[in-house]
Amino acid sequence: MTEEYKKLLLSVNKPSRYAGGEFNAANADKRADVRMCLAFADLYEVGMSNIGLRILYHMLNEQDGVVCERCFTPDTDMAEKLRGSCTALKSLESHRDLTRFDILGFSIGFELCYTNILLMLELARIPLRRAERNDEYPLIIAGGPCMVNPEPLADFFDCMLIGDGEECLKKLVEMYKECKKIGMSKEEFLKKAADIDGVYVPWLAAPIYEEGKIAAFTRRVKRSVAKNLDKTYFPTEIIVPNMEIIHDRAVVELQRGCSNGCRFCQACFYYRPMRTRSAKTLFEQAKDLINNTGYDELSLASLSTGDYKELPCLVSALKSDEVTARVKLSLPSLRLSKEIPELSAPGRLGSLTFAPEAGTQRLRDVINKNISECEIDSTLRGAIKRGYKGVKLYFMIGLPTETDEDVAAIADIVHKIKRFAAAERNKSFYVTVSTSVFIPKPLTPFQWEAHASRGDVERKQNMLRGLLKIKNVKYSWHDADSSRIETLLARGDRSLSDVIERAYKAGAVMDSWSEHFNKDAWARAISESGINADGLLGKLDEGEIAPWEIIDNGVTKEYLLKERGLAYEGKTTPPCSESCCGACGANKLGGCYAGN
Amino acid sequence: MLVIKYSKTGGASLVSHIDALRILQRSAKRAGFKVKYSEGFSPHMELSTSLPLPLGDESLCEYMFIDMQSEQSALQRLNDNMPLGFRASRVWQTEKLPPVIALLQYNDYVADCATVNADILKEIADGKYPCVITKKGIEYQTDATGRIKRLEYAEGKLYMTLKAGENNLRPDAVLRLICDKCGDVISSASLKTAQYVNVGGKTVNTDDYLEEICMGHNRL
Repeated sequence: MTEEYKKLLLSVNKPSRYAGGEFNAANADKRADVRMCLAFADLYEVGMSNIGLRILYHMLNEQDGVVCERCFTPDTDMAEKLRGSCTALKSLESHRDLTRFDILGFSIGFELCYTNILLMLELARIPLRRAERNDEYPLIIAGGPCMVNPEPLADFFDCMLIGDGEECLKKLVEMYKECKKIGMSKEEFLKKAADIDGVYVPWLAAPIYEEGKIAAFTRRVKRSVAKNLDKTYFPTEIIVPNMEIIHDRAVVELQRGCSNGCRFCQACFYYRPMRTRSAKTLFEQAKDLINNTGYDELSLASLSTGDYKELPCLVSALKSDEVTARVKLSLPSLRLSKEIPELSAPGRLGSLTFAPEAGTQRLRDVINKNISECEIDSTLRGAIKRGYKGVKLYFMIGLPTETDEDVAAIADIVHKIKRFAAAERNKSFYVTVSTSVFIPKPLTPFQWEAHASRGDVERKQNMLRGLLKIKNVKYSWHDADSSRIETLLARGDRSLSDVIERAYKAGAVMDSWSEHFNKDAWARAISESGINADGLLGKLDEGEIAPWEIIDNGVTKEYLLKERGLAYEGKTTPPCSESCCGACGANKLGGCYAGN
Repeated sequence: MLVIKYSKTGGASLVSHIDALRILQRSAKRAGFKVKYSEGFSPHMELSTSLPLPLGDESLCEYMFIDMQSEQSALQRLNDNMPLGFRASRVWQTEKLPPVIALLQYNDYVADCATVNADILKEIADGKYPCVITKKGIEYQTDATGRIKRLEYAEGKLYMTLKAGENNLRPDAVLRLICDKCGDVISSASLKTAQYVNVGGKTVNTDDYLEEICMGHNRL
């Protein structure tokens, strides 16, 4: 690190975000045929908590002839300093300018991080749009969960990776290495790379528009899938950050995909087919992780950890092993319908987190959240009895068919919990209620639904604020305006690239942080670009081709439509299992439960 | 009790004290040290350090105190498990926690400095000018008299011995004063090179003191 760069870092908040040098970080001085930098479109503490980034970083560094470094979105103070100086945004490992890499790969997990990508490109002194960049600049690529609908970002990237990076990113980097050796141009390389499953080159496969609507695609891109999760790469010598990060713990990934089929949930349909790791593999990985990191907390992560079949067996193995016995286990995404495993030692019980998502049974049936009133009651009663100090509940507002009664029922659930707590003489038992705004996301049965109007959302939030003025109950809610932008960015097409750039230039950045969300910048960008925002936020026509249909995600449109029909009838669909297939179509990408 | 001397240099100087403490604890865990834990609802590792180093400052002479028996090749194992910029150099075994914080008297520092006016430097050393320190964004003047034991310039380097512990004087305050009055300081922060303790009125290097009190115990 140069003295000048150190001086700059000392003038900003939390300089260790930018300093690198963590335990298990890659040795960037190594000779390399390909130098890649993984860029994360959010702060260090968010990005370092991301399991996908962890996997890809270590996977690439183990690849022969490849060195992979990291870069995160600088916080506003650092961004300001970089803008005002001649210093460009640098990587963490070797403090190299981002322009000095072969490949710059963005991991994008949230629509409201799109402007952060542009901030990073600008601070790296890289032109924002692909068309403005020649072969002197690195290959700029993207991947991550937002690639469900890559179209809004189409103008910024050379190519985009759809699906599991363990497969397609590895192949892409390998191909790049060979092509670089023979001095192939960027354009030639991209034409060749487009043949890899999961590689989408937006300028090669632009949709055909007729009267402002998509008429056809010249080619569709098949999502890349790691077929056998048990044999898929997972790092156990991971970076241990020097500062505290959001999820500061070791993580093992139990399963990818979710069989529950909640109709609002994008991850559930995007990550199909359902794949699991064996308890034996996970136990070995967990032990290695704890030994190699020194963490005292281990997260058993998946979209629905309670549904992992071998959970009791894994938990008991972890609790009886010398290395992992002292480690605190955390289980995200538990379902209210499942028994809570005995995890913590007595005296260490904290709070539990559940997501009933909707207040009434009727609405829970509409969204296919397969839990009943009775299951909610018994689980929460059990938690109070066992001595938990509180519970956090997550709900959504603005769901299809939602009425005021559904919203008011959220408060009824809270009252009931307080009654259970009082019966157990636990008056200090606290309840935290959080409501987000329903976003009709692509690749869900609700992808055609309208986004609730701002007035409606705020009215319901205010109603709940009134109803939840109860002792030891805290209520928090998501901002209605940023949710609308999230829907726009999630469902938009290529014309959104222009809106994103205009919004960024008007001052929008770090939109996912409520204190930074710039409503006016977005309003200006939308009106200047002339897009039909109300159309995009309203109900979409089932007959029209949606921009994200350019991706072959496995799950078919027919299946989503069928599920939408069932939702309106208030009928539920049972979770899929090894013996009962819902025929969603994802099976063709590799087969659910393959390798088990 | 093991006392380990370690350095915190380069990028590690940007790690805050609280983060550094966590890093040392995790390093000890990774090294497989059998460290004692406190007893209670939230057991924590019995590992502590000498006084916090200001953010940005580098040091060759930090000390950590670990409640554990001596173990084979402890230094090597610890070094294999610490992040870049942290490096253990010596280890002592003592019966109990040595009072090196309570007895702390002076620290040695060195900083890069291009030019300096020798006469004014002497005046600064004599405490003729007050130093400016910043606390919670507010600047205060503080009298430096008797708190600068040594202030010398030689071949592009400034050598300082400043009061540490009670009534201490931070090196950045002195560097700032030198910048203002008589020199061109290059370093953004200083490098701490030695700590001294007051043993019965005598100033002794902390290393020598630790050597003295662990006499009779097994040398490591």
